[in-house]
Amino acid sequence: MKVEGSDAKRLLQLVEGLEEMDDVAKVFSNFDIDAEAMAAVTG
Amino acid sequence: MAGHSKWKQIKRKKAVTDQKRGAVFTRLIREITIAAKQGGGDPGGNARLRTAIDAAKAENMPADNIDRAIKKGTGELEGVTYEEVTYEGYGPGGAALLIQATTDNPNRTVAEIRNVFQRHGANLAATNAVAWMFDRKGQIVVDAKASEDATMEAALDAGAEDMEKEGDIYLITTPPTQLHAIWFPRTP
Repeated sequence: MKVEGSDAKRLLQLVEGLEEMDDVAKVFSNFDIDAEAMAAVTG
Repeated sequence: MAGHSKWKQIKRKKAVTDQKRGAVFTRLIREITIAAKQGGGDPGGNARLRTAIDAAKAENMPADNIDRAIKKGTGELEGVTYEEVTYEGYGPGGAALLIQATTDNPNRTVAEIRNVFQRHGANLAATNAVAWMFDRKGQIVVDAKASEDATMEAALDAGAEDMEKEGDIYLITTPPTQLHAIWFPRTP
């Protein structure tokens, strides 16, 4: 599942938010964000 | 006064580090407790517990904490009862998400997860709405220090399905039931 632009940013924030929860052990997803978009999102 | 200010900074840094360390410990303790509950308290005969203990030792968790977590899992010590639950949902852009949680209160956990989903424009989904898109696999991450051919041969000989080089690591994929046997080849 290719995800780009603002969706990619919100998706990464969502995954980060879930992973920060004490009860959450692992988060799996089928998203595909290319390296350039990832770098743009994560700064 | 400069010294006082510096101490405050150190204190703040230490508080953040302690908080992160606490969160890591919480997860490791839950994993040890669940592993002991499901497979018994002997790491020799419980590969999942052995993996969890190794992970805890790698984080410098005190041995007393590990022992207590095992005893809570086996019922030798009273404590919170944890269970494993899986939640599914769709994220921004339609990406499927599968969340594994360990909790003593599934009602609280699902409410918190729903809250995080809603804050990011995402939605929780019904059971098996997205789970069918995922295959359950074991995965072993190895530093890519040894030769690729030798590592591949050893992995496949031990029962692994595949191995890929990603940067400076090898990702070894295994059948889920074989993960611990491949990771600990001497486990009976």
